[in-house]
Amino acid sequence: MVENPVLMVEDNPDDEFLTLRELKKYGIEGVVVVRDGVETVDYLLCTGRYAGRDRGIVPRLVFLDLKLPRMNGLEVLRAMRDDEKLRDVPVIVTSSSQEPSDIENCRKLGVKFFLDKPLDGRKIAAIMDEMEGESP
Amino acid sequence: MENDSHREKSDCAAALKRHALTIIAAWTVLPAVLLLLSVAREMDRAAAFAADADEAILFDILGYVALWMAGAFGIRLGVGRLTQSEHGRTAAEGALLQSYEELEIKVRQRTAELGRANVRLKCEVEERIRAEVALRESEMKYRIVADNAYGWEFWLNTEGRFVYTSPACLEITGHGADEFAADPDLFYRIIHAEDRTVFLKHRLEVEQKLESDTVAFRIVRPDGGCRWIGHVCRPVYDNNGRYMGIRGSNRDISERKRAETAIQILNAELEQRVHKRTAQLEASNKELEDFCYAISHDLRAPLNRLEGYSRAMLEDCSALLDAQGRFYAERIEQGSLHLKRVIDALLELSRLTRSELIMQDVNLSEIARSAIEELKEMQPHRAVEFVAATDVVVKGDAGMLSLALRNLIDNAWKYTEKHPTAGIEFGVTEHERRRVYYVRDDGAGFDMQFAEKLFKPFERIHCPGEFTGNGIGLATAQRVIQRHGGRIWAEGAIEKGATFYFSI
Repeated sequence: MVENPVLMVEDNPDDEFLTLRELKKYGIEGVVVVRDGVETVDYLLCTGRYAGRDRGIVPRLVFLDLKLPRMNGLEVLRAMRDDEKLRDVPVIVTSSSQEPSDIENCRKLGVKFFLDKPLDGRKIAAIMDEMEGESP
Repeated sequence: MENDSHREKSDCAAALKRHALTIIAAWTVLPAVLLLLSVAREMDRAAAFAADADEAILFDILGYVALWMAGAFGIRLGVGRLTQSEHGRTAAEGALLQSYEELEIKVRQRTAELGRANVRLKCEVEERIRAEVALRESEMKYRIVADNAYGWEFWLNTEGRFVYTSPACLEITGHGADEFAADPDLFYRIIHAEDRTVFLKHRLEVEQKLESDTVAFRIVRPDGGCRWIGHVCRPVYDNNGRYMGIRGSNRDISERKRAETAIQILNAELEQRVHKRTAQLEASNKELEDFCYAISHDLRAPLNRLEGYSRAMLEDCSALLDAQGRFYAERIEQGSLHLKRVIDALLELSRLTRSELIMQDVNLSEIARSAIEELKEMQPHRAVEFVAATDVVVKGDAGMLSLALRNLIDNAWKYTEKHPTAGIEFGVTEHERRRVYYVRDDGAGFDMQFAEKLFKPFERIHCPGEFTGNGIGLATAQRVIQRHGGRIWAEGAIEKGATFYFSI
């Protein structure tokens, strides 16, 4: 059985490289990378260029940057919360900033985890452990 | 006096009797004389005409005798009647006398009564004169008061006519009191057309005997000029509660109105300026916010990459790097970390300026104590003695005040680190009759000539190598205190410690 993918939303190639490197270090592979908000929603809802994708395959974890071209991270979060299948997918917000208003808005949309860039593999591992502890 | 009148009456009756007897006597004697005279004459004639004349003479004599007898009888009858009536009169006189006496008594009584009434009347007259004098004095008093009133005083009777108008009306309206007295509608006519509704509403309230406040309206003078009048009036009643019309006062409030208008204009201008300024501030705040957001994302993002790549280099390529290469990579990482901290501190400083204060009771003693405890945990080797005043509570924003006080405590901690032992104190004292709080240390201190520089962002008075820090800690503390309406200042001397005072 193929494990559900991890989705990474990242518009900057350097950040993509550094994050993938860190994830690989802790054994997380097969990461799907999308580069802006619209593409993220298309992937998640199987629309646009992802129209042929199986909606049954839901990512097991999403790394979401907030500052994204076309459609920002908060809008992506709203779209996910409006969809029954995506509502409970865990999201880790990765941001260059620690702007309190951003954090507050994310919490309101159900986000529990925040990570500063550059991502620290140890912190990711700790979050993963916590999530496994929470799920039945 | 009574006796005199009685005697008069008796004398009158006696005189009447005497006259009656004289008439009777005259009546008796006169015919006899006439008869004798006539006989003597007839004797002369008889001598002339002889015997046949004797017969005629006899008839004449008989005629005279008969006439005399008739007269005598008549007189007798008259005298009898007179005597009879005199008897009646005597009786009447008695009755008259009696009634006269009664009358006398009545007259005496009446006279006494009249005398008393007279005295009474005299008193009344005197009383009335006194009252009249008092009334005149009182009227003069009231007239002086009313006629010299600064305002235009008036009294309208129940028919709407002016009973009184004080002379001041001339100065205020340009119309004399006599004009108002002659023309009851004049008052209404001189009111500015736009203000008549206000006046009518007020007058209606007063006529309905309702309480009515002072009203202001304009009047138009004969020269076309306008004056503002402050008008107040009320229904008036006499001592028996009878409605007597309306008593009112009009004051010239033109000066006050002019001042009010000027103030209104100034206020409106000020408000407009405030609006404009607020809009400008809001716009610049928004700009600042956007700018800060951009900084926090776009400035930090490349720094994150620097940090990430230098760490990746150290981890992935350490085999290829010699000690020098590793040192460089470490310095890159440290440099980017430092820059990130500075950016964060700057963002916080800007956030402090923008965000709203949430006022509540804040226990400064507890904040100071927990800050010291955290520092001791991080650097347990330091020998620092901390003294704090207990339960110092102020009103303010908990988050901001905590940030400010922690910065001051951090500062004290940092600048005592070169001493083997150190003392840090948090306390309360008084300065220029204001409660002030302070954080004192016995550390490196500073030269007082740089005291002002301490609070400027990035201004340092020690070399960067000497003490760590981002250079914005005290600027942040100052911003917090200023936002609470307080003041912060420092006193110190080189190597003799520093004290940071602040009021809230």
